[in-house]
Amino acid sequence: MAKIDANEVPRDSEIETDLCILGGGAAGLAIAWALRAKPIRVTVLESGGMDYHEPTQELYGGKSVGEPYSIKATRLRRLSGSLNHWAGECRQLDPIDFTQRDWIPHSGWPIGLDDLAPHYQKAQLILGLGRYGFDMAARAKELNDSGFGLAPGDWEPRAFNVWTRAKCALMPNTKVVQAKNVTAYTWANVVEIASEGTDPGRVTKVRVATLRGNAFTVRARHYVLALGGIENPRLLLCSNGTQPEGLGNGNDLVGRFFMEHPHVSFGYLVPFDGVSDKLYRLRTRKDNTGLFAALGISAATQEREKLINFAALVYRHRATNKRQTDRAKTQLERVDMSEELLRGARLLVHRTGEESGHAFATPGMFHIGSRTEQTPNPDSRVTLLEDKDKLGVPRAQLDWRVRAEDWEAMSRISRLFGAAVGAARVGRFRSNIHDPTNPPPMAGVGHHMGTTRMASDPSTGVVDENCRVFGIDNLYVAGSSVFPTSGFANPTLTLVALALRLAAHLEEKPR
Amino acid sequence: MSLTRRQFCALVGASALAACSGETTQPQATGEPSAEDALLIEGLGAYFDQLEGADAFGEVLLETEPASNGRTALLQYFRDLPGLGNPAELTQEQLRERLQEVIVADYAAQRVLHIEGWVISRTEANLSALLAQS
Repeated sequence: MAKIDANEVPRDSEIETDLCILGGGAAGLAIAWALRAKPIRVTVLESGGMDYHEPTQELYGGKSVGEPYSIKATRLRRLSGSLNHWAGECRQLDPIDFTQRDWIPHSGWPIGLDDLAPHYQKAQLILGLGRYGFDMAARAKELNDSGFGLAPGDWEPRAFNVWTRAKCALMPNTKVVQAKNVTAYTWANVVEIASEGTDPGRVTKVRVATLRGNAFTVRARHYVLALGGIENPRLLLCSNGTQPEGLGNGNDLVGRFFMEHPHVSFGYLVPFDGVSDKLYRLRTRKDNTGLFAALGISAATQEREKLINFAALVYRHRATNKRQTDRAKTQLERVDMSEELLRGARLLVHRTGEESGHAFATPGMFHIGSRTEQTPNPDSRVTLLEDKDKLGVPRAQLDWRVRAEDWEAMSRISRLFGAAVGAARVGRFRSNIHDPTNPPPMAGVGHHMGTTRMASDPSTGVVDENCRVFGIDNLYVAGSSVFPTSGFANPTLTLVALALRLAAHLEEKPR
Repeated sequence: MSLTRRQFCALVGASALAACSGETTQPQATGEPSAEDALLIEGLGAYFDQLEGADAFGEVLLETEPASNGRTALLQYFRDLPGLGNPAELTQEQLRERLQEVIVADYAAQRVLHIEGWVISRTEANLSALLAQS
């Protein structure tokens, strides 16, 4: 892939290509990777350069008016995008995530896990995740540990794979960058997607501007918007030359249904003696990729109890010195846990001899983290502000909202979890989400999903099952903004798999 | 200072003896328990190795649901527990094992309460409530 500084492109010139990819992050580069060495000219327009650049990053600056959120800090505007600060935890969506669940409004994908399965395998490879597979039985055998041994039915171990950065094909200077048919323009900010004349059904060009004052256009047969779950709707909404409400926004759906994975401290587990957490600990394989497990709720239980998808992560509470003890104490005091009841819970599991100065600093106590599905909420949305960035593009406003029903579901899940660990004689559980009307502090983790959702019908979504924007022949969207529901799994593996599926679709298009 | 199980048994035993010397052996909702009740409470108290703090959940329950956690009702709960049999015929170790079985069954059947976030079985909660007022 040739790299060209967009500042060097002749001013007001017009670049012609077959496929124009807006955004050089995981989704955009996955498509370029899949189409490398194919008889198709691919142009990638990346806002940043090879390294972090504050004035470029500042173009993300927007306003958050809902749940506390930093729009600017959750994405990186540089080649390979947010992969540059990615933790690399991956897991497929579960089959139930794709289904229409009558207890979750707006749920259901127009495709299923089978449609993504072959692309997941490729995505696993190019992300540097090593051997493909999420088989917990093999994992348990490898470790000679079956985890908490909860009764089968409600809870099942779920595997996560963790990448090795050096093996990821989508990082700068890796193979995708060497492909001869791919050209990447750095410092190239797309400021408008334009459709000329009276036909809004086709995009004719994109306008590019640089912070140093250059400007040019790119014309392509097909365009892929791959800027992230906030920037994708932002650019569609401000590209209003022929459609005043914004491109693809005839049904007022662009920017709606913003979802995150709300991270909360789920609770604390006081275990019986001898309870092993080996299965849930991060292990590094010989090829330096990682693997760990969480406890997920079975699909049958989700259906029976009308729950959201969820996984509990087990972290050993290590407190072997004063600093760790103080930190554990601070963490626990933040969740307003009664020390007396903690002592009581420890008596219930007959642990009496391990006081170490403070009841909170209990060696062997497990912190239970959470990975939670956020259900689709049309009022959780990205809109445009009057305020504009340095390139004249209206800034984004994010109103992140989590439905009360999600907290209620999490509260019921915590009760199920406590009952399951009690029945299995694992320990006693203290939920931090016992009162759904007073949920604990929540944080987003940079998973921007849902704002250009996939659907089978334009009345319920922005893109079709091939990620094409409804009503526009040659505009596609890549990235987690097309997810109609979020599952609990980190989105990168799925968004790369979807990008590879889109690449296969585009390869079949006439040139 | 924490109470050991032995100290607790001694204390409850003294109470039972005192109650036996009185004119009535009827269970009382308040005041001293009858000798029979005291023996049951003593046996149930053996579930814990150490009693200080064992009644912590019970105190919360008594505060939030005083009506349904009177001593008479709680004792009846334990007498009616299908898995417990006749507590008077069991050794302390047997009673403890049976209680554990009942508690595990509670969790399996999701007979649990949220007490300030702790997911606690109904039997454990009742045991704590009983000890908290004994």
